[in-house]
Amino acid sequence: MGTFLPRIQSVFYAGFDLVAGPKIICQVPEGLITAPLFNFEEVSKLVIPGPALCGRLVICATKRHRIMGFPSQLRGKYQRNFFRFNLCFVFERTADLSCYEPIVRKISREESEFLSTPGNEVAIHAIIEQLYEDLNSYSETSISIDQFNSIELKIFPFYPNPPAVKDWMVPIALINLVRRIEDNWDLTMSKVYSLDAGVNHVSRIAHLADCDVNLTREAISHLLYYQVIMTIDIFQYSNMYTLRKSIQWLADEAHVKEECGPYSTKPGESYRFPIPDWPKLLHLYSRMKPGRTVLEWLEEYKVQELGIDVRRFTSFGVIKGFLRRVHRYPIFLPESSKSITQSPITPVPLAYPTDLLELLDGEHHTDEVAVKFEAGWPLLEDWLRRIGEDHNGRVLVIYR
Amino acid sequence: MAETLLAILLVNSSAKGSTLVYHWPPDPVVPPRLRRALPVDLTASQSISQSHIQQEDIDPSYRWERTNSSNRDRSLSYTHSPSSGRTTPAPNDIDDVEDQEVRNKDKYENVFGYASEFLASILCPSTSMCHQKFQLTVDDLAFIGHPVCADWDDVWRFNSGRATTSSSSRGGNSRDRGGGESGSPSPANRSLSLDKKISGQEKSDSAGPSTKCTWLHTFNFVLVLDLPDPSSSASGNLSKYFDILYDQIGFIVAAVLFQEQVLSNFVEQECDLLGSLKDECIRKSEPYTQYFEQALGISSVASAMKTLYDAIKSSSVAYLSIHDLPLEVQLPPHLDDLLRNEEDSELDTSHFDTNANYSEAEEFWGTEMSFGWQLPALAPWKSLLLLDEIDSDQGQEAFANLRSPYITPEDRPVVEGLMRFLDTVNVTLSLADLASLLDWDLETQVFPTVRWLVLHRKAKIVDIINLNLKTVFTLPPKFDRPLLELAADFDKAFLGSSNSPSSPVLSPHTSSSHPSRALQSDFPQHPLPLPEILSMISTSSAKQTGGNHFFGSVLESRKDLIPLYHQVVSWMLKHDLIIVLHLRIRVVATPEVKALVKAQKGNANARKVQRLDRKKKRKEKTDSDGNNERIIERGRERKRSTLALTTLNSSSFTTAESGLGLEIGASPISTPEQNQYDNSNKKAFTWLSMSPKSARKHSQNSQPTRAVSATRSTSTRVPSSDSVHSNHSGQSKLSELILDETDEDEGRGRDEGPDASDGDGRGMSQDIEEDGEDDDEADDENEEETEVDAETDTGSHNVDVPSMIKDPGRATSLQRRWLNAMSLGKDQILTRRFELTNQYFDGKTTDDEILYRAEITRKQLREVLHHYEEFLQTFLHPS
Repeated sequence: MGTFLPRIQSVFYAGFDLVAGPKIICQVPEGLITAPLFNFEEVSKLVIPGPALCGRLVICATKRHRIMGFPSQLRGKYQRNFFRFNLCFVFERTADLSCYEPIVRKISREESEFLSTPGNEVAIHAIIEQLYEDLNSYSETSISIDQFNSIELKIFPFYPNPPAVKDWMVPIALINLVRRIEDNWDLTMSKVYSLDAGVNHVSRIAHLADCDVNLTREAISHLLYYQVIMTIDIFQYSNMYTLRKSIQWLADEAHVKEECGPYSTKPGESYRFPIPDWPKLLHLYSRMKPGRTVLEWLEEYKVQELGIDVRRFTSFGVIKGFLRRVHRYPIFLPESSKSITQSPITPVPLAYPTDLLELLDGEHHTDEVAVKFEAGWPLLEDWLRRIGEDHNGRVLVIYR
Repeated sequence: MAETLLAILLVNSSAKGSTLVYHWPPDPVVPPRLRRALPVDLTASQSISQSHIQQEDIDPSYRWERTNSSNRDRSLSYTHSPSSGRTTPAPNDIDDVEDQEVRNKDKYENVFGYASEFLASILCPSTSMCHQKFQLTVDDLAFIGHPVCADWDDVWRFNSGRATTSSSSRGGNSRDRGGGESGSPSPANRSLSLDKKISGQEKSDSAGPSTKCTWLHTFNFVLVLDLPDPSSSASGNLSKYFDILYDQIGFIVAAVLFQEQVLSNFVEQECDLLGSLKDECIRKSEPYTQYFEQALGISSVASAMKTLYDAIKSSSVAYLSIHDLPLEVQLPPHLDDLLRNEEDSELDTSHFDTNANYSEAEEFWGTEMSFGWQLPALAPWKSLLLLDEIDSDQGQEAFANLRSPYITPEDRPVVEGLMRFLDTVNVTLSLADLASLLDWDLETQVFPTVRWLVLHRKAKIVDIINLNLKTVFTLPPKFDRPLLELAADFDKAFLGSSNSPSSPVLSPHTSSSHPSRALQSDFPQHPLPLPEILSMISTSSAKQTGGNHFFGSVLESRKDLIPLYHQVVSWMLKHDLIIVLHLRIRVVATPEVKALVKAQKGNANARKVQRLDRKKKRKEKTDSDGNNERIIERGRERKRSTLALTTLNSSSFTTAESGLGLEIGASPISTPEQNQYDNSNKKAFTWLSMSPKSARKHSQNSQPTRAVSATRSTSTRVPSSDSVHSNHSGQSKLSELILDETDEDEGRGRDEGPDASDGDGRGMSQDIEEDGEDDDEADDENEEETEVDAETDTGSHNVDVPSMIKDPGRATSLQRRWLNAMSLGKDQILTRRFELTNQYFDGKTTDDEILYRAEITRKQLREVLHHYEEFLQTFLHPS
């Protein structure tokens, strides 16, 4: 894990000397700061700054390095009524420091106990040295200072935030989560993880697992954060897909063309159907287009006869990133030519939810609408047509 | 635009202390931050790791109060830290006396919750930190600048002793070491370029320009950014983001200010001006907004800061004027994408958003426009769409002076050329067409003009739109703005105000006045409503009848609507509502073809005869290669050169197509070595009959301007057996096929691995047998086999399974025989065309590119596609 973390070039502890002003009290490795790395004078007013900067994470840059510190000031029975100190980490200028920020913040607080006592320099030096060595080598450290105080640190790699989880997304596990489960996992998580099979969408998972949908969303987003699952779309035969530009190079990748057949054919039926070859499969992918539903595609190219599990076939393309779902975005277009008489909405057997109309602005796709009103596309299609008729207009569907 | 930009500051320092001279906006607002994640919405603003704490100690106040000028309480800076659950120091830790200044509510004195004097002092670093990149991050604020200072004797001059003294005092080795440590020069080491330029003069003249100022010692032009949430972007993007801001804005403005200070003590005068105005305003107790307003009137720096801020925020080019010096700065339009998660920004439309493509973009567009611009490749088969602004009032600035009568005679031809370019350019013309229409050189005249126009946001690169709108479009998965807004704009643009009197915003609840379809026929000058057009486009690619292109699907083949809809298409392109779909083609060797090729081997005897025959004929042929040079030139321009090389045996095509009617028997295996045997004394012939790749190398030596592609063609592989493109009778084809038998065996042996000892052995023995007579060729084949990562998929040696020919331009000999077998029984002209084009059937080359490279018409390509249908797969997707 430590390999991709930026290396700490140096750790130093600085304080405010009554006579000399800001000064380095000890540093690891020894004597590095003044000559080879940078000139302490240049940054001293940022390392031991005035009170306005104390208690803030300060990162300053010199020509080649960045110094990250958390200057602190304690008031009390000191000679000048305050005691200022800072423990700084020095990195390469270009290093990505985000994962160290919590560490640096934490470290400056932990030590506030015994620093001011003169004569502790040796002890401090030992601590800093251990910090430097441990964090660089093991990315974690545990230093006990005295009976009550210790420093426990661990550097976590920094993952970007996952995209927001929506109710209509379908999580699909990328690793075998069942083998990772532990007793002390979050309760929702322990109910939810087994349903991440690429079949159920989030709100359905919540329903099946009998969990709150918010908690389910959080659990899913947690798994997303650790990149052990990804989300795909709800599979329906009325879906449409289209190729993405990445097909041009992914079609030549061994991991795509070799995995596709075995993944997307129905398991256990290989004796009945030989696994189709990649050119055939690629051809099938290339025939998926906006405006052509999976069902139409299925019938036109007799996909069933090949023993292909269409759901797995499409999700393979989506996971690999060369196929993308084309969503339907219904938009209501009022008809101006007709008389503007608002015909009263007559309740009919196909009564649609009244707030559906608000969603028909071309910004909400039908998966979202379908999950919200728990209606499949065929029903939705009827609703949309009826809305158009009832409101003097048409509902157009934009596929994108 | 840089959404994180909060303010622009100008600070200075002198013997009297540091001052914040001016800043814009007057009262910078920083977006609120959360102390911890909100319980309902985990993804709100903080990373998940930080939100763990929230479960342990639930604090009612989730919002982190920024220490603003009015309510600064420094205890918060202790408590806000999200990474610790520890109790925080008591508020009485604050040093009351020192904090007094900070608590001052006077906005003259405070900015971002800091006393402006204090802020100025930390932003004006010591002399040794001057003349380099300055970067400081305090909590959630990042400061970027380039401080400059006077010399020790208070004289401002270019490259004073400072550069040398500072580097020596800081250890001259620090610089050297730096250079050695990291390969790329860090921007921090950049010194002002003006510096260097004039320092040279100074040394020679020993009297460079300098100004003795009265008090100004240091000044720093600082951009203040709201430190973006590091968890929302990929690692490393943040520092790149800062670097771009520094490179494109901070450094440039600092350089201009520095120059003016050196030449005319400008900055000091401005500081005096602003300082006295400020004192005046404070004396009169005028509200501080008054000061900022008045400052804009008297100081060009102040107004430039405002202009710059506004331009950055509106994502446009900033036209500044500092001390009457015109200055133009801008940020890459897609800069902020760096801060977002890749998945969000990864659309099919974006081109160079990954680092892998970075260098390629740099090659096309130059460093300045390579990052954050997301520009498509600048290629001859692309087209250029002029954006509205040229004709509108806004765009006048850049073009107004073109039309002015005060153009110097030297500039006249340039201006006229540009005007002609602007008049000629059209989305239906490729850049190559444009070049030939204007009689300009593509690389040295057209491309630079295009770059200039794109840089100034006057034009964008688009795909060629068919004159009759027979172009297939698709929609991007996301629109930049809500569709209803776009529809309203569309109505404004095409329906005019008269036809839509009611509110242009189309809402499902209010019935607005869209012309219906019925009305359309009455008023053909009005297009359909935008949603309807989009809806039609979005399903068009699956259409079986009537054509999947725009003309068929939206216009329903009505020719009279074409002019109108050209405008509509341009409008949609400008708003990024449509993407041109491109056709890509792949070749599949079907089992039949493979079986045929397999059946054809075994007749090795004919080979020797054939070869002798061929050599003879090659000598004849060299006389006929009149005009193949042209094609080779074209091929040379190809960026992905590796593809273009091996099979383009231009000689046979050109002779045939140009109607010379010379039968060229089996076309030669034109390795340079052989040619040297044959034509050792005829230089021209040698060149002509070289394999295209060698020809390219050859010509690159003589034409350094074409060096763009030269970098790519460093591979030493010598292509061989171009010959397989025999376009002759079936008989010669057959013998041609037999020719390479050994290679196939060899290839097969390799593919089959250890199990195939049989084939391997056979191949080996034949190899040896053949060695004596055809060294070169065998060697070349060997080389090729290893290099073209000899078809690893199982299909290649399994006759019953079709296999994809990954890269027909670099086909192995077996694949080449498959390709030839596909042409059996086909019309001769078609066969030639197929051979000419199949190198591009790699699933990557777009139809536009194929047409350009192979110099064929769309109709001809369509014929090939039709006749070779069973072997070809087509793909329609955006590029």
